[in-house]
Amino acid sequence: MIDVIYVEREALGYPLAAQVMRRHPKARVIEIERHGALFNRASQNFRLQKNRPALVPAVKHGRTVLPVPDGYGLGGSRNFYFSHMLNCLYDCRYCFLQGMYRSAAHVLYVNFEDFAEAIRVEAAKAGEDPVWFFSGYDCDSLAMEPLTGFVRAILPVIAPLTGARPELRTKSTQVRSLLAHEPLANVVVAFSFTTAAAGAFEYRVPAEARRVEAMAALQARGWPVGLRFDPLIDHDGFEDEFAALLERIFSRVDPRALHSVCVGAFRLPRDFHRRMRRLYPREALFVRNSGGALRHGDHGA
Amino acid sequence: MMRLCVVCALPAEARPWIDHYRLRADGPAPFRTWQSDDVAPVVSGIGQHAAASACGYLAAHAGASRSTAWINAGIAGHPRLARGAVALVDRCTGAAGVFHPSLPIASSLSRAPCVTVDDVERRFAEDALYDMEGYGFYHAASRFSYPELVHAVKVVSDNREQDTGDLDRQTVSRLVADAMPAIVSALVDPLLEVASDLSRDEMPPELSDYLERWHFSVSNERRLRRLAGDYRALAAEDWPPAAEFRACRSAGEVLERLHARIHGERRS
Repeated sequence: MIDVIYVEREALGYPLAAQVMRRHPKARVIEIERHGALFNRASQNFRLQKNRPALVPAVKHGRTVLPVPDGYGLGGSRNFYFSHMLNCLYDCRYCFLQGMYRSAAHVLYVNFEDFAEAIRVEAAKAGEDPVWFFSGYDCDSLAMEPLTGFVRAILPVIAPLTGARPELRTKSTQVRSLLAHEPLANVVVAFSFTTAAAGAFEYRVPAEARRVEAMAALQARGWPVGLRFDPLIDHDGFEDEFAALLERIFSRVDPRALHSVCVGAFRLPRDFHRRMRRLYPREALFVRNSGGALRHGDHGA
Repeated sequence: MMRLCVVCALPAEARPWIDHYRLRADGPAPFRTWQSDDVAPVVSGIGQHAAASACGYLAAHAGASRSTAWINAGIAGHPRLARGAVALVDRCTGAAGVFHPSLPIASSLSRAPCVTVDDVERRFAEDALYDMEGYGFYHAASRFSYPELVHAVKVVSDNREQDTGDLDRQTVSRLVADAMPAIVSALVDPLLEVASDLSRDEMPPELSDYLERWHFSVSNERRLRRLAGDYRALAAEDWPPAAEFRACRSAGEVLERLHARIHGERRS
């Protein structure tokens, strides 16, 4: 439920901004100059804002496609990420976005064409090795697809770029636009899962069974799909629960046809951990792991 | 723990709050305040500087914390809204900039932008509320609390058809009093609920018995507070009283034993 839309004046010139405002006719629309002044304002409380996050249609200036942080990727030599949104519909307690951003508002960049152009430019530089483009870094790639239409817009751009390898990473079940499109062999749709016990840290996330069904449907349609177990959170009975999770997934998804599987331990940059701990002082996750299992210096996904 | 601070420009605006929460007078100078255990209004006087000063005074006087909710409540002009209409401010413009309040609750109150001016507005150039305190209030109160807990709610007192000429104390009080049920149910109560969640989590453990019994250096006191935070997040039982560690001869020894108890190991 969106109560307030802060729209950048510049974004008003883009059809997508008008479209998202039409989708939320009851939301208060407030025009702003630059989303940074709102989004980066000091002393905001991410946890409080997560109760009723605002939507912020904005124009992305500067580089739209950026090199990934160290350690992020699937083994390719050239890796980029891009974020058509900042922040996520879901509320996972382990998510590093809580420590990275001051605001929980959903910033939606409406200038998709600039993202598309940057992808074309980087893909054109591809030599022998393909160029990877990860889209699920600052947001869930698909969770707000019915509102944003980002995947629908970007697929025709990606389709002819044989050197490009985009990854759409998601915890959602919003796969309708992919199912409606001819499968693209160079696009990986990666689904994130955690064990049932770690799932207790995930709020507003669709039920695991529905996500498995969405993944199976895409695989049956011919889309390359991947599994992302990142972060894995250690807990009593982890091994049994993880085995059970794999069984549930592979009861519907063909493991032989998977594109890739990634595993990552729960880890956070030190500053993010400090901020997240301050947001949720009673959250045992941030304490239990700070003695050993929680690694600093990397980004979670 | 003070849960709600209310800033009103006029005594007549504060009166319905005092009656609603059955508050006792607390002090006549430099600002008139009233108080219960968890609600404290202040009468700031007119103007944004007065409102900002009153916020500072009330924060210190009432012992406000980061999770105290702040409300600026009072009358305002609007070009077309009828006298008595209630609106929650969703953008406040002052001479120095714009404040965008972020509401962390669902609320049925109508929203309106607000322009803070230095004199009573008669032209109503914008389709907005016109007040004389809002911007100063936001600026000051959000230094003491999270901005998501700082809000202004206005009752329309005048418009293009009906000026301020007939406004007297009784009328102002009646306008605010009539709006109180909506303000309390659609703003104050749900805001205090989310503030309470935060407050419960942010309440520091009581450490005075430790600090009195042993000498903690500044860095050791910091370690003690961190361990107390760890303990609260991990342990089901209450924070142990200092007496449990009476055999310890130094703060360092206490910290070692606490660390072992919380994390199951001795510090190396």
